[in-house]
Amino acid sequence: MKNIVKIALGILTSVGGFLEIGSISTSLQAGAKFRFQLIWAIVLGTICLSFLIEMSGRLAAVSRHTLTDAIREHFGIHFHLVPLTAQVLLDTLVLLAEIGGVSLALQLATGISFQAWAVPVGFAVWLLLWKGTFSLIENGVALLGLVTLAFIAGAVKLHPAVSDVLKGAVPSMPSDDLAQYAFLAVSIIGATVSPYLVSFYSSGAVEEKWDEKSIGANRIVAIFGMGFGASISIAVLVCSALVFHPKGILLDRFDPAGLVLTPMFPKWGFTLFVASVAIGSFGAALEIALDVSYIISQAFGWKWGEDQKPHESARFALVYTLLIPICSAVIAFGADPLKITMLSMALTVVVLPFVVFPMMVILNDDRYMKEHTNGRISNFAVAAILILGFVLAIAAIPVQLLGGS
Amino acid sequence: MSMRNCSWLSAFLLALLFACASPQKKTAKALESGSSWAAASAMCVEQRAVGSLPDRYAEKFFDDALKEISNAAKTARKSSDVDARMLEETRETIGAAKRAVKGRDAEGERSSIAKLKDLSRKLDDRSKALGQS
Repeated sequence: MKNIVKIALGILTSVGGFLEIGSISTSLQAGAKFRFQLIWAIVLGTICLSFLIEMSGRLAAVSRHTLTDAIREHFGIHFHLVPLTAQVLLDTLVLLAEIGGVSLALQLATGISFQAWAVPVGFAVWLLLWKGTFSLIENGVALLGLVTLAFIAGAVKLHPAVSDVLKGAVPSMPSDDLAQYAFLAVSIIGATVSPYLVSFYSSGAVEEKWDEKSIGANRIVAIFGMGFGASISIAVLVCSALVFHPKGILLDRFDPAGLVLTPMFPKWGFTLFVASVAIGSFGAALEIALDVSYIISQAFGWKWGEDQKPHESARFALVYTLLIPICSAVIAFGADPLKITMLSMALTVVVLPFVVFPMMVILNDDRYMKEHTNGRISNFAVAAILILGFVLAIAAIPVQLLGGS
Repeated sequence: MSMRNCSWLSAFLLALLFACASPQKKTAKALESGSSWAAASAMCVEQRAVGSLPDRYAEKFFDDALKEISNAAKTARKSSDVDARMLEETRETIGAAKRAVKGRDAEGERSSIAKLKDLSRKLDDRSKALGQS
């Protein structure tokens, strides 16, 4: 019974925590510009994420190591500095985007510029990390994030042709603007497979003292939690495709996004959208700030843990205490959150192989994994998706930055 | 070829690509953006009229739309006065829509919606024509 509750809670929090500013903006832009044609990118990203989440949970359950711990121990700190630096820089960029996301939601709700919201939002994130516990952050905010299920209800109310939606799950060439199509595909994969999710998940598993009995529950949560979560991303894309695409509305700025749910829910649509963006991005900001503290503390062997009082793991708390104000200040000085979001999601795909390949080595090492090493299918699936994403990203990012074609 | 030479060559190629982006293509993008803002503004007026959107959102929305359309018109002016005028007309219509929404002028809202939808279509057609030529 206890296991069933654990699995149910794991799935619910995965679903509630799936959407954030990255997945919302990339899905909205994809639906508005290319209708259902980019659903395949969400599917591909989710398959990759499910494998990675399952692997990092299994590593924690079998070896009692977090991902960062294991990589540092196996490769040494000198090698580890490369993926560590890449991930810290990327996490910082994504944290900027998430603080910007909450600020944009508050701008929609109040009409007051997002720049004015960046510092209060940063303070709220810091305060919750300083005072809160791991389970409050993981479960509390993610359960509030279930408000994002409004997108599923919205998509159902729009009655999309199921065959058209299914066709979108198969890659196809766009009729025009190939560069933007490829860039959006890369950004969607990046928004779905953020490295912080993987390292955060393994740190959480160690904080919650998982053991080998948790492997089954971990697998179910990884498959169903991520699968149901992805269905919300697909629902965002479907809503955008049916509301914005026929009218020719593009989403190169965030303002029109506030209209996406109002045709289906005239009374509550706007509020549901604002709440979805604000809660989703706030939850992600908490997890990313915590993740940077986790990976830096674990890499340098400092004491770490969100369930400890800040004075018990002072350097761990110091990392997020320094990082959050820096990110808030960048947004407050006027950096465009939507541009940062799109760029950070695309760069994720470039950085991802450097973070994931050391992980694959560990997951195939029986000194850590005993009889639970990776199978061939998971090795092949993750490697193939990452290489495809990397090649797409290298080709699409420069062209898109130069204005597309 | 050394790493350093490679970096210089890539930087040069990127700069060359950027310099070669045709003004026509930039105008097509500006028109596409104008068409999108016109359509979104029409939707905003419609949704505001049925009480789905708060006033403060609508006000900020129109301010941003006006700013974006002005930028698009500035870009278009470099290559075509006709396209720039069409974007100017869109800007004026969004301004009128903003005033109608603020003054709760139902007739003004209706006429703005119709005009914005028409302008959105025209801008889109022109953008596609430029993009194909």
